[in-house]
Amino acid sequence: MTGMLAFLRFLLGTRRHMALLGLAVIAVFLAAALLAPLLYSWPSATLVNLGHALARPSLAFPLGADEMGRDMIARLVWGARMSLIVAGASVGVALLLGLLIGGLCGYYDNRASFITMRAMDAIISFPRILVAIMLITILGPGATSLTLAIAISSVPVFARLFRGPILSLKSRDFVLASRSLGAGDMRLLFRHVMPNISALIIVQGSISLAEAVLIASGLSFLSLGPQPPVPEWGAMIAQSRAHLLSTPHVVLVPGIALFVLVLALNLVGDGLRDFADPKSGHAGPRVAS
Amino acid sequence: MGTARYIARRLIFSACLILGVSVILFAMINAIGNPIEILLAERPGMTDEVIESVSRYYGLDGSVTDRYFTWLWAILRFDFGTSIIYNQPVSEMLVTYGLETLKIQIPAILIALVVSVLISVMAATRQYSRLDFGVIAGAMLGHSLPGFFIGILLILVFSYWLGILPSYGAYSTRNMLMNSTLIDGLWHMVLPVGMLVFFNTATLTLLMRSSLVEVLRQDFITAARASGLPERRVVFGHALRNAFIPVLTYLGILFGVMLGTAPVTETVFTWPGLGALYIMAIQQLDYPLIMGETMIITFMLVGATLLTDIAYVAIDPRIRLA
Repeated sequence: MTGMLAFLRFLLGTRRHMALLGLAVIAVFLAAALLAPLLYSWPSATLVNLGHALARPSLAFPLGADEMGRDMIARLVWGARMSLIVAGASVGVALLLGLLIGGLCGYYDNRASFITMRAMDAIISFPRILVAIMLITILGPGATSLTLAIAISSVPVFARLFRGPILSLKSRDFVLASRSLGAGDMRLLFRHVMPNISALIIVQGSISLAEAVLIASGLSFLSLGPQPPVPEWGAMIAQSRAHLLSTPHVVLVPGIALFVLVLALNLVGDGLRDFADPKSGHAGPRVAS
Repeated sequence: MGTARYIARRLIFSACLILGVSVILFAMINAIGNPIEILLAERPGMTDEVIESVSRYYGLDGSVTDRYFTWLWAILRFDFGTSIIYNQPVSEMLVTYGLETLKIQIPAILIALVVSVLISVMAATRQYSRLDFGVIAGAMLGHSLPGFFIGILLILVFSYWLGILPSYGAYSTRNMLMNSTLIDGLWHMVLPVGMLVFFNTATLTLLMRSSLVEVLRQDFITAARASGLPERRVVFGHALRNAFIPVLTYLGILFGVMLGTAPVTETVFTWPGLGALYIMAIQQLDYPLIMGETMIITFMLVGATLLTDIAYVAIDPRIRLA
């Protein structure tokens, strides 16, 4: 909490209005996602009602209805919940596994860790979306396998990223001091080494969220994500595409929501990176692969 | 370490990698289940004789290890078996569809490279100017737009509202544009290439700009300026060459990006390429096609990484180890 306040103060102090705006946007999406069951019932987002098919925006349907007559705003809100859960869970799982692999391979610098890191390098040479597609082929489409596929496809990136700092931290004096006091490997790794890269973990995690949302929606667009009638923005765009010409709102609404959320996440991620390391400069490279 | 030994080591690593992928792929496909059972579920009432002959036809009889080595030996001869859905040799399909993929991906990458080099030179030489912030903001916006949404917006504007560009396919099935297959084909390429250029430029510009900014700060640039070289030669001759090194790493990945953007791009524009084929094969569980295409993708990616590693040594003599 204090970290959050310090971050806010940093953004206000350095007048990073775009990052603040991004933070506000994320707060709105997060609130919508959390309150989705209270705002709109699950049936209103999933039940077919052809009487309202492709209704234009009106008082009853503020954002119109899709080709199955489902309220777009209800689907949008439930879709926000889906996107944020998938992205959050996949980044969380990926961070845990990445820390575990990177931590162990950095701490134990032996043959096994060499081979593991080579395997990580090998996976990295494949585009993330292809790794995820291959995993979904095996796991079968759905929200859970989508989350797992995105998580596993980003583990090597995290593992490689965390290994370096851990490798250099473990030979620092304060670690050696603790070891000479009789601390075991696990205690050294988790109590002394890991806390020192917490800033890196938080920054990388937040930057990866935007990419996770993008990949999740792309895979859902390819119908490899949650299956109909579950609302997911990418899937909504794919399913309503046939009506792009007659009623563009059925495609534009989820598309714009996706764009706004990813942009907000990117802006906050950038702000967070500057907050953690003010010397890092502006908008460095972030390679999406 | 000598360059020859370095290259030899990379070659061995690449071969191991391809072999490893083939083992994992084969094991995983086998873990999902027997494709014959899926065929059976679709067409109940096949006699044992038929099942046996179908198994033999698709090479599904014998033990797992036997089948693996038969398959490995076959793919080394570029024989990937027969697609279950299309009933065509997979190797021929991979070539036809692969050429269609390259047809939009290569021009898109080249255009994006040229555009992003120009933009990033303009931005980096005027760091923190209004133009620089504009470029960063633009790249950030482009980076946040999902690729498929860009494609759909392009279709909405250019195919539906303006009605000047085709929205799907690589060729017209009838009424070729100006009665020329060439012009018609080019006309169909415009939107998919446009979408890819947009997507790639956004990513490449961010990378190039920050890399250039970093290089322009270094001492040898100051020295070059101090020796009286015109700014144009300092930027294009000295700075750009060094700024390319991180981008070159990216170029290896860029080949991956080409394959990574293919599924979505080709699905949006119903383009008959490898990406759309892969998704189709997965949805229909066409095993020979899935396995063949995965192996081809692996071959290409490993090859590209290998080439990048070698190019690295050529462009930057400092990198001799690793």
